[in-house]
Amino acid sequence: MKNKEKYKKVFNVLATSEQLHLEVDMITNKKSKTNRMKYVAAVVAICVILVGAGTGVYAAMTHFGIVDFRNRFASSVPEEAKQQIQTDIEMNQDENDTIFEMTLLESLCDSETITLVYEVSAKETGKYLFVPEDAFPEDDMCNWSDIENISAKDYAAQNNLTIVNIGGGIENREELEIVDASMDFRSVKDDVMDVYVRCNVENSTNMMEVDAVATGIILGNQDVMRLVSHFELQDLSTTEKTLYTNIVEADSNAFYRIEKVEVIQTDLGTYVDIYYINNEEDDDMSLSFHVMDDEGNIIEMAGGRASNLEGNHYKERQIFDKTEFGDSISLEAYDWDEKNIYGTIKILR
Amino acid sequence: MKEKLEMLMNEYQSNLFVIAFNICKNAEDAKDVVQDTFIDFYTSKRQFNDDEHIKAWLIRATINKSKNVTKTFWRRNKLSIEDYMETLPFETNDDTDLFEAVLNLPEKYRIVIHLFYYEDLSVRQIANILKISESNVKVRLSRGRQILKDVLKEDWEYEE
Repeated sequence: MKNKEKYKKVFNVLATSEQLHLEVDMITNKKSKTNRMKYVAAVVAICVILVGAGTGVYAAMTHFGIVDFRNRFASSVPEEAKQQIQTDIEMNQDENDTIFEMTLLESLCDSETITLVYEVSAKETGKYLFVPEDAFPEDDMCNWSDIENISAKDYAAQNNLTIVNIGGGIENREELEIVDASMDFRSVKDDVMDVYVRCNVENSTNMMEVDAVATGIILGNQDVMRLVSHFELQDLSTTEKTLYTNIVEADSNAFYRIEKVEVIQTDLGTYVDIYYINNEEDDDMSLSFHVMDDEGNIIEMAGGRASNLEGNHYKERQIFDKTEFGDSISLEAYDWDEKNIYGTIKILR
Repeated sequence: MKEKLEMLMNEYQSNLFVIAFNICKNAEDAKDVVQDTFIDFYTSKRQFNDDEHIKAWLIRATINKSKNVTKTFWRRNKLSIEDYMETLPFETNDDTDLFEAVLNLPEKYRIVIHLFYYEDLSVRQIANILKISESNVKVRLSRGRQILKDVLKEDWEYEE
């Protein structure tokens, strides 16, 4: 058998073993998709009442806020930013015939991000089990609640509930120029789900019109129920930008060149934009940079993305929990694919 | 537009899933990527010359989205690739070895190898999709093949 035949035989196994179940209506109705945050670093302390031995109805005593969700990813919210979390937000909701209601619990934004927590609750209680939009019936309930060692399917059967996948996000992504988004879910009760959405925004203004959408799909039914809430979100955060352009240490023969580094400090976090040229065509997009502290230790980032600006010019954004930088910033160039270290660069303001 | 979308989904969703899996190494992430790619196709106002142009765009978008997933900090709690491979019904150990060897290739070689061996794309077509030169595609193809040859030995024929 020729290499090509062998290769196709092997990867056809992958192609035929996964059923994608993509439906045209799902695509045309959804229009936007966010990745769900499942990075669990710490468990949120909540009070759980379980009636009976593992078969009772689940109910947490509280709602989950932005700080609770952020704690789950071991990411803190600075005190200044905590003061800016908006509650009791006025919103207008479209008329709807969905089985659920949506309440905006908290919002927080700065010049770079929008963060929301909204609650989706069933209009008729005792009938439904709300699970995250990407959960399968076979998934363990511990992924979104404090109930462990039972699948959603078994739990729903034991309690005579119908599974509903709850999702959503922000509707007017194009206007706000949302470049990426993450979501997380925590169950408050069987039929009450708190949803966390965090988006990176390119076109933020001091006062933003936001359309948050909650969606629900009853298991086995492809129809998507949608509920849109309109509200205004005010950026209460201060933003300070610092440009680092004076390169004092760098390998002049390197295939890459740093053009500038911009550090954006807000009350919520620190965003580092690294603008660089990559002259090694073969390297594609696998060149990346570690941001380091004064002792040469790599500062752990909380997120990031890279984009090709034009030709061989690139921009890499790294997001950090609030971090102070001095008059200089140090970077370590490396290949995230092959893990090679290329060298370090020091840049002054 | 819906009919066209349905036709494209039927024709390409499996192949796009395999491309996305090759980069993400995770089935759920790969499914999200394919769904996102079709949503982008449906909502974009791009004009396409013909079906080949659409196919190239879908592949390119799938690759870019998959790369973004791999660079995103908050990835799924995923099934390990070793555990996932055990769920795939490969006929022989050689098949498993080839699958594993491909997934262990550095990403830039893996993408080119896959487009060449699975999608039957020419060096020129791959260069257009990845926006790199044909000579670079040849270099990556050659290096990828050499690694596969080193790992798989007699189970992978020598090719220039």
